[in-house]
Amino acid sequence: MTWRLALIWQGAFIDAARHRTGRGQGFEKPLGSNVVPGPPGPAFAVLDSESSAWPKETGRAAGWQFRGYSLDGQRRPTFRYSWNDLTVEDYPVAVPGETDPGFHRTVTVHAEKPVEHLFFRAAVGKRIKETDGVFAVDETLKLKFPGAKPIIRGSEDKAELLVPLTFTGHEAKFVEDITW
Amino acid sequence: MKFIVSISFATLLLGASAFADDTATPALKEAEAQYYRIVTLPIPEGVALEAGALQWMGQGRLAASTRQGDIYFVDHTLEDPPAHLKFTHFASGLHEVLGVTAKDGWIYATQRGEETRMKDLDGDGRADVFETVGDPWGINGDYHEYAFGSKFDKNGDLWIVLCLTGSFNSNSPFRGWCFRLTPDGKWIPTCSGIRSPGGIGTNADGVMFYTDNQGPWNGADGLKELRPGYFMGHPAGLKWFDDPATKDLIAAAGLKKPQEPESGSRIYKEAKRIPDYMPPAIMFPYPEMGQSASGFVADTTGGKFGPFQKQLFVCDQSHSTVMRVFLEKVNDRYQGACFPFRQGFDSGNLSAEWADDGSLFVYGTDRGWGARGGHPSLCSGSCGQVTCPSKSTKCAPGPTALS
Repeated sequence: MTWRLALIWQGAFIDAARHRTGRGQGFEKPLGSNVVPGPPGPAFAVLDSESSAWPKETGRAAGWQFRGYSLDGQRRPTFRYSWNDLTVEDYPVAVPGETDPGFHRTVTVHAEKPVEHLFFRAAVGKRIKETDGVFAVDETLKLKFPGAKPIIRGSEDKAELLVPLTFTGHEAKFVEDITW
Repeated sequence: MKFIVSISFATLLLGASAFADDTATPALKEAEAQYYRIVTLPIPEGVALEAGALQWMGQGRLAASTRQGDIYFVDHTLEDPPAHLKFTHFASGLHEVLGVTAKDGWIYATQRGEETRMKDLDGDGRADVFETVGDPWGINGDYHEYAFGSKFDKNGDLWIVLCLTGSFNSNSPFRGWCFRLTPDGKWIPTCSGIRSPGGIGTNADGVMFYTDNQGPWNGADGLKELRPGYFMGHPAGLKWFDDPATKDLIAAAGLKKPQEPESGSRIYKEAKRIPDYMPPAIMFPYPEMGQSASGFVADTTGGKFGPFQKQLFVCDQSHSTVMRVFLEKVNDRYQGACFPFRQGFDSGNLSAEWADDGSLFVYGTDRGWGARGGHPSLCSGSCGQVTCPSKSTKCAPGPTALS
């Protein structure tokens, strides 16, 4: 289990018919288009330095646990998950648009004690380029992080986009606007 | 629930009502109906009420979970005829809920991947907060990896039995195991050796049992006691005793890997040879009594449902029946006998639940498995209510009950 945006796409959601007419065998891919995979592995990590490698360990063994979700007035979910002593609330809201549909995602991390050197890995790609606060990933994704100062760094033969998280009291928060 | 191993067999089912031929004569059905009448509750258009589980909420209200992942509240269920049923769509988007119960204002649901509890905070009749109570087992997307949840038992524990990945394999952690959730939130690996459960519940004394379906290591559908630490007979799930991801949790529960049973041997021989082997208390003659033993309840109605106090009423999914089971404990093991009880339901019965007036609600699905009376279509769930003909008259067993 990995608590991350694994796949995003636009248009139709999924064809569940096969799972509602027979025993439900088989796997379904997204029904829509412009399917973009998210970065693999854990979405958050504590790095000793900005050059430390992003860890690969994830799932239950690495301390990740799904905690459930709540629905707002429009029945949009805020997902809750935890990573050891950190609890995350992840509220991705779909933003409609003819030219640039996307997600407005608000992520809040709670902790009893502030955690230093905590990073969120927003993207991994061949090439990541910033223009006026907009981070273009492989000319597919466009990401914005209002109020945050993301870091582009090289990692092996790829580029990574990391968002440093700073606690105010028991909470660290960031907003990610995703269009593609 | 019946496991069928190949795709070709599944295809065969589409036209194969022979899988669950109804052999009862009209006279037999008439005789049963004299004593136990079935009232079928009409399901409104647009509600896919495929069986999952039922929870009686009191005051005419039933909570019904579905295989498509919904939970409905159904009100005015005890009216006869049921002319004013009201369905409230409490939750959706869950994953094949095969266990539902209520505690402290929460609705608890056993989904494939986790135990979840939910609540309506804003009072609009729909759940808006969903908490993961726990998910110590794995799923990989295989259709067979069902999870059946019990009600809370007399100790406040909730028990979950986990189907194997198919008939032979345990490809995700703890497939083929039973877990207990304790009141303080701990998950305890409780039994190994499970194949393909169809239901879970207690006998009248509060002892936990489950039904396991015919297939490898299960010559016929069986009813087995889930005694903590015991091995229920199918060896595929024993690998988790040794897996680095699961062995510590198992060791902490004090469980030790049993000897594997010998293929081609006999249950009583293996039960003698392997101290932790739990033989079935009941083996339902296959296919005479049924082909997919599923959920069950003990008659704790104190006589409201007739003369079968403390006996079990066990559903069969493929024959769309309710069977009756008598249990006794001899030399520290349960044994007993099963009897036909009631047939003629509209779809494959998956679970049953008492109302507090002693009515028995039965609820079913035929999707994916042939079932008598069923309609091989999408929304084929049905809901029935069995009541005694007269509350003032003690019910006598129908002629079929002892045949």
